[in-house]
Amino acid sequence: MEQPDECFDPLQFAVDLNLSDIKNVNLDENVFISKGLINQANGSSSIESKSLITQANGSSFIELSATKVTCAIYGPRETSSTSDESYSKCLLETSIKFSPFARQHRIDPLSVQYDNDEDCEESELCSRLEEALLPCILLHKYPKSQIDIIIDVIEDDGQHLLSAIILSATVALIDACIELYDTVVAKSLKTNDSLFTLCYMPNLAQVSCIFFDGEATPNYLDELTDEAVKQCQLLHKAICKVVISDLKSAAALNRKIV
Amino acid sequence: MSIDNYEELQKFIDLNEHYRTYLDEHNNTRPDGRKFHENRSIQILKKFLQHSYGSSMIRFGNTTVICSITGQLAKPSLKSLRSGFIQTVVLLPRTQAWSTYGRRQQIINENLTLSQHLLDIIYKSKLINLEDLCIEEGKWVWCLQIDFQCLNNDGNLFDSCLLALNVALHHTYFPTVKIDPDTQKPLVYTKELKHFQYNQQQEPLCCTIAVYEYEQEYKYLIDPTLEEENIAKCILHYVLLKNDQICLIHKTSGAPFSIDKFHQCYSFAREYILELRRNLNQ
Repeated sequence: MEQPDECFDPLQFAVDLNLSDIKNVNLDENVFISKGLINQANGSSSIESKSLITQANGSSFIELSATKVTCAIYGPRETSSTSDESYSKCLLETSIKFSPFARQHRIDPLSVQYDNDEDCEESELCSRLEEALLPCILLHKYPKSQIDIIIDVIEDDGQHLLSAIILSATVALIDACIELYDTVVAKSLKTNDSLFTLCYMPNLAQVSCIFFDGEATPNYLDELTDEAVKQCQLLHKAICKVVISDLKSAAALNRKIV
Repeated sequence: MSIDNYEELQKFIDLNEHYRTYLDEHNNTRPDGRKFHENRSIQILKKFLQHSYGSSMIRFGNTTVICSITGQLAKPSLKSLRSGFIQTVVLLPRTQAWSTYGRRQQIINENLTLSQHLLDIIYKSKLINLEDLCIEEGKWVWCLQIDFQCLNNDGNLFDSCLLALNVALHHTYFPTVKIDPDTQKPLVYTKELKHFQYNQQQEPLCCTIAVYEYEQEYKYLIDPTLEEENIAKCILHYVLLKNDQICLIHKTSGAPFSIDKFHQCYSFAREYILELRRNLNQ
């Protein structure tokens, strides 16, 4: 049971890869939001809860075209930090990890990353997620505690990653019954080589933050902003539908037990 | 995991007591409504991922496991020039955010025992022949990476991982690789995919039995949930091949077991795995 000394990615030697092919943009993007995976068992005698991650306070699973992300929220729970910040409001700890099969090239889960590594996409995504969520959580209601947001990226198609992460965190926060000012809905638009992500709070009609990688004129950015806000409102309706139907089924289940 | 009603409060305070009082009131049923020999509902999803050569997702009740099979190219070791390599990694869900242990900045949640068990089963049952992974003798071989990502652990990871492995292997397609005779470098044709050849006759499947002591006798709970695994006196894993031969028996310590108890558990395991195979071949 030996292990090889060195492994080579077969894509390095690929002969028939078309990198210059522009992938057809799938305009008909599928969006799938759920707090648990749909249980299709008929006539089972066991009572199964519908949440995806049973040990967490709140969890969710989001699928945006090919990007799949799960989120688990643990909290609010006692914080081990003794900093001054934690006495007046809640600390937010985020952690994002890619599955080994999330991308074309396999990411070795056992390789250790050290502090002074500059190229750390995961920590960059973590800080973006915090920026997007901090305006919407009522942190002053949970002093001396922390909320852990654990995100697992199952699959990444390059475009929707940040918006899927923010959406899954929002739905999981709602599932965990943590008080929010408003839901944060995020939408990513990709044009040529630039990626534009907008985080929007629909009820307050405020933009929580904008992330942009690439080149654009200010007018073009305005257009992108308008387009993204419109699509965010559609996504917001989808989230509301999921939350309300989940609440109805939970109420029905409780009625059955009582 | 919130404490909403009386039942969950009782479970939180003393799990063992909760089970004992439940078994006192109801005979032959477990708190989640199943009989002792009944398994949870199984959901199988094939070809789940787009970047892997083969993938599957299995749900045993609340336990969710994703299996992904990819391959990388490597040079064979000098001891055996024709055999490839296999690596299995089982990752458990994290319950904590990053914390810094000195210079290391993450929590690697690998279940080493389960990873090693799965590797042992693959080798011993000859499920995948290492010679099949050879591209050119002495020069290039495949290194098979089998990754299991557990999204939710509600007990019985062994069964679900093994079942996920079987389903994923059934639908794995590898790109063809030819060796360029001039440069001795491999040429990978990603568009020409061929079905992965493995030993389909051996279908190792596992049955996990949790032994619970109630009123001086042993109750055998098949397909235990996480709570049942925690209160069990000991846990047994039986891995059987398609012809009902035993591939692996693993028993944790705690409950003294005589030979006839092993035979009894073997018959339970056989029925359970027959049911699993029917599910798998649908």
